[in-house]
Amino acid sequence: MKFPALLARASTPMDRLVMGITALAIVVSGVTAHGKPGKQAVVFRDNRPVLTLPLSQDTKKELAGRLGPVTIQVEQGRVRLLEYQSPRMIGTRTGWIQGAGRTTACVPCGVLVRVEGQPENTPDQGFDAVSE
Amino acid sequence: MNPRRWWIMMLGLIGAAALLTWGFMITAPTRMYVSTRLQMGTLVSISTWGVEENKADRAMDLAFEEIGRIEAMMSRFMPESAVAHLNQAPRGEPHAVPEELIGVIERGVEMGRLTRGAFDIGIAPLSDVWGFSREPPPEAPPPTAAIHNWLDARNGLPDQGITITPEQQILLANTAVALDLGGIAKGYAVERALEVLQRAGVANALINAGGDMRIAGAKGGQPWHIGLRDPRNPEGVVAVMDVAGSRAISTSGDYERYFMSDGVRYHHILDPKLGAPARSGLISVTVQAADSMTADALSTALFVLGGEEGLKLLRHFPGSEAFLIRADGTFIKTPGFIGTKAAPR
Repeated sequence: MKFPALLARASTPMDRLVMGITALAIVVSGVTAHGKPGKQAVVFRDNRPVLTLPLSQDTKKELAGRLGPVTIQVEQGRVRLLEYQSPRMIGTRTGWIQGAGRTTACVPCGVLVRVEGQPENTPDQGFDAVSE
Repeated sequence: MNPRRWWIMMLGLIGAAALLTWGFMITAPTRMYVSTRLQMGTLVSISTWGVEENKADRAMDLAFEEIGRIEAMMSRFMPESAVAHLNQAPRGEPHAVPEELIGVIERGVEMGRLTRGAFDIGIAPLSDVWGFSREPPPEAPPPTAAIHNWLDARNGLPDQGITITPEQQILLANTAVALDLGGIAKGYAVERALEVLQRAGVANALINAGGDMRIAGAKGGQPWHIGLRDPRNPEGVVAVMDVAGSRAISTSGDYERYFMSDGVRYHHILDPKLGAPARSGLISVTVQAADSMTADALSTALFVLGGEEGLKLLRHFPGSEAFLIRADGTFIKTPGFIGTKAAPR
């Protein structure tokens, strides 16, 4: 006997309703626990949002930073800062970012890029923070 | 038991378990919330645990506001800050500054005494000679004469040329003395930011202000998992620190602001006795202490003093621990330092 027929024989419509609600509760719990993946990047200049870039569209955008133009590149669902070279350009060291809550920045330019959403409880590199 | 009763019982149990789990997650948040901003010339990141998102967001906004307020008072690069005004004031005359700033200067001068000058909050003119705060950074060291002029003008000044008068005003001895609180104000700011978070009901938090870190509580019963950057590989980590409870961590290294000239690395941590970047044989110093101002100042002082002298100094700060990395990659770890060397990847 196939499973649906067995289920129909062994349960009433009320049983199946309870089962459906239970499955729904489990799905909702799962979504609440894990959050949503990053879908777009928000670009901040001096801590003010100035640009939103969907990670689904490959693009290159130029933004006026404190020291000159800063280029932000989106490719294959990832985002990074380009060009301005400085030991303090954290973006250069970070490279591509894509996970929800990840950031990259050019400190002297005053430009910060953040992938929308909150990071997983265990961040991508496995550390809550890096002392440097 | 007939199959129908069995099904009803099983579904009831599963349903109750799912609802309990859901209810627990709504009432006791088990997510970390993180917010990052550019402040005090670096990336400042705040992580919270155990409070729901709206409360975490409000608390983090308040903490960032507090850091911004302190930066507006203590940054020498903000023309309207109290420190900038003090640095422009005539020398040899006392100058009124906010009471809060007096407290930080007092602590800075005290740390200068305790470290026998290895930590110095009055070296802004020397930092300007070297130009590490310029963008783009310099490509060659300054003329030797400029360094000698500074050393001569500073020579023999008590308390690094900074006097706190009985009227609680600040007197700078001469133009070779000007405040650069970079080695202590970030520590003060993260300490204050933590107080703001705690007043807003956040008991578990991690604040990271570009090397100055303040930890409170834990992450769902687990310690905060913190990496220590490999000084010669920006993507690598040399040690792992699992820290819970109240602790401050500060790292000073020769890799954040530097330039190379004729194969020599010139970094931004200046030895006030040389008037030049410290050459102590260390390339990274991490200090764990009870508060961020102590950790911040000690990481700079130990970097300047080197391993042997630095560890002697550390004995005067009970509860403070250090992890020192030498230029050849070997390291010294004090017995109470919370952390272990990272496994090679």
